[in-house]
Amino acid sequence: MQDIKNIEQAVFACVDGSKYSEAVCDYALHIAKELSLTLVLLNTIEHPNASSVTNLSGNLTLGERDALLDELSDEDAHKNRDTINNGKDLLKELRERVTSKGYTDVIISQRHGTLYENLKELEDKLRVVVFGFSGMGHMQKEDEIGSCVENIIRDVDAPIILVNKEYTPIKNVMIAFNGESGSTKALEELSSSPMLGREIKRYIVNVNSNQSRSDELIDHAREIIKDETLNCEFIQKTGEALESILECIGNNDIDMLAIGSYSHGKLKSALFGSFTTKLIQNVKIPLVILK
Amino acid sequence: MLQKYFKKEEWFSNIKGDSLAGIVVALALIPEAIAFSIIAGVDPKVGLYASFCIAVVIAFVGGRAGMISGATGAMALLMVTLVKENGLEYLLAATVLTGILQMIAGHFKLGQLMSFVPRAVVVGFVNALAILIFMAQLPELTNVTWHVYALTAAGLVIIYLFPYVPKIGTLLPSPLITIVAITLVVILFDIDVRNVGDMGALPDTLPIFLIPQIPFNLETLMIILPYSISLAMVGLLESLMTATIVDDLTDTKSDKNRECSGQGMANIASGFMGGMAGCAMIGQSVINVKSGGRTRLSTLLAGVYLLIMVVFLSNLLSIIPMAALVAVMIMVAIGTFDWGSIKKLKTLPISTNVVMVATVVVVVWTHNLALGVFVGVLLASLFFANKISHFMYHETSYDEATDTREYKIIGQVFFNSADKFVEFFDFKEVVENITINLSRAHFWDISAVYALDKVVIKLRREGANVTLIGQNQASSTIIDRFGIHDKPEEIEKVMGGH
Repeated sequence: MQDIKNIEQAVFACVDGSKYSEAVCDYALHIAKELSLTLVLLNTIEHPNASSVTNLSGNLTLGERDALLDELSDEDAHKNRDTINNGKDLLKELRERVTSKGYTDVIISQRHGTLYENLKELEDKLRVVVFGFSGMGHMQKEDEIGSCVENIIRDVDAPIILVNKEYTPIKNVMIAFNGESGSTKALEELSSSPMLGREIKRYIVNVNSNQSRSDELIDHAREIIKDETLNCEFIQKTGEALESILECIGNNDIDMLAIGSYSHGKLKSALFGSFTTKLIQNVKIPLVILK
Repeated sequence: MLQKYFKKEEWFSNIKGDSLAGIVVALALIPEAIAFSIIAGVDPKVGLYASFCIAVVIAFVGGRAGMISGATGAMALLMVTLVKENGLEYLLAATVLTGILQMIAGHFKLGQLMSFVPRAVVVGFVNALAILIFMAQLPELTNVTWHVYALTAAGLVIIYLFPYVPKIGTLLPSPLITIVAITLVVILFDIDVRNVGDMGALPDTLPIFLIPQIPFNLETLMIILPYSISLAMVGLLESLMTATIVDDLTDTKSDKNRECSGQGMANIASGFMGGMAGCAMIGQSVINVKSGGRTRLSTLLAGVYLLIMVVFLSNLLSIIPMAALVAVMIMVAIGTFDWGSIKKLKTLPISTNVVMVATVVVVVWTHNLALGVFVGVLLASLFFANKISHFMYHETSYDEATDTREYKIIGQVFFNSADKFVEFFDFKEVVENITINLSRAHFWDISAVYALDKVVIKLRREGANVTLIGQNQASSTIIDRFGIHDKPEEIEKVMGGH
């Protein structure tokens, strides 16, 4: 296991052994190849924040603190060892998968703490972060977006790819463009960098009931995509944003959707619901999310 | 803002464990709050309101999830004379001022000053606190009938043996069993002993907002300010120490500066609600973690349960015999004591032990934990300076051809080693030239520079030509803001030659 504190920029595939781990690895591999960067397979060991032994006796004996510390650390050590071993096996298996596909610039890394904590710490090394839609703990409620996922999307400053299905080759990407900073960044990223591959087709969609505003935005989008040799198609739609986008995805057989993330504060989103969250819950293809 | 104060995982990641732990803690908070009110010389309701307000407020604004705060012994001991001489209203005002001071400390990030408090002082603080809590129970055990001793002893037996009862032993809090059992015995056998009701008023309503009835002038401020300063310091010290203990127990991190201002807000709230100043509680926090409490929810629930039980059961509370309370408090004292530190006395260096014991002695003597910590930190710093002063030696050589004596000074020159530095030189020797090579010496302060000046002048007076080598390098360590220099390459520049 190499020291990831020393690497510069890399593509991070965050894997936890849930069902999309292999897909996460494959998508990340594709991106790492296109950007020719190191691929880091990252497994985080989240510590259980609760003891499974119930002791409500509520008394304090002589040396209680030391005894309690020993007891709790033994329990954690036991649990962690299992998770660590499972994570190690997973990482090795996935590294094998990557090298067998001919890519050798791959590092595996295992770190303690939550994924959010670790990504925040490694923020300046993150070129692209790829992770699965729901961690193992959320398997039962698949359509609900975990608070962990939401926090990462909100706070971690790097392009994020959310994987929610098995890997299929990327032939095209659709960028939902509404002129706001996040979607502008998404458009910039996908038109100027070869993140998903240079040759793929780019659909730029704007949903707007105001025709002139929509024209303006599309013109603006054209300006952002400086390179005229790219294969782009501009789509203007009216109607309900979510439905239109979903329809567009279906009609054009889209492989990936790029969006800008949460443009509102947490409070407003909590009260009125967030468009980003709705998209994440309803779109059945991987998402590229930028802030 | 909202995001900072309301993280879902800090509240709802452990609902079952937190709900149960909240009950256990609330049950343990009641006897403590009553006992500490008695120490401070106020009605039990002052401590109970304080514990409620502080627990609830700190649950939201504290920097350490899963830590329990409330009315504490350390704080109560500091208020005794204020209450005796000026009355409750001044205590409430002092409590608010304490909160304000703590918020200021939090704002200026003074929590970081904790790094100046060595481990030995922390241990001394905790042990002294345990001893003080125990000593505070003694008035209840002197000049009383044998019944009180018997009841207290029986209480301790139940507290420590009940958990060994199969099944229910780990499901029912043993302090609660003790209180119920002792109370029943006293009622059934109609034993005449003091009970909680004799100690003063218990809460009969929810706490209400009120502004302390004091004259708002400079004179009042001068009365309460010294108390508030001590209270603020001790409160923050105990809170930060407790936070470290909870950090270790749960293997998680806390935000020390947020805890400082959180304690401040909690005390301000307490003062305006008729409660006394408080802080984090070591014993209760350990009980909370032991009972499975991990998040802010358990702290909040402990406060809420406490209030519900106190307001609706105040009639029942008043018949609890003091003996039962004393038994619980002896348990808290025993649990607070750092037993491991006594076992380690033999293996630790004597200077560490002196610091620890000195802290304990000063606190037990003065009943002021702030003074104890001050003495402990001072002693520890002196011992440290003394240790470092040994890191200095000299080499000398004589060159007959040029009649030159060279002194080479290696090591740390500062206030404590300056005299030794002067002694390196032989002022009696008659030589033409003297070279003082300082390229491997480090001058840490003005005392060192002054010592060097003295040496140079003295040697010149004797008629020698004095040459200094490497003086600039040696004195480059005299920089106050070392913080901006602590990058490896900068340190290498200053400390080079070693």
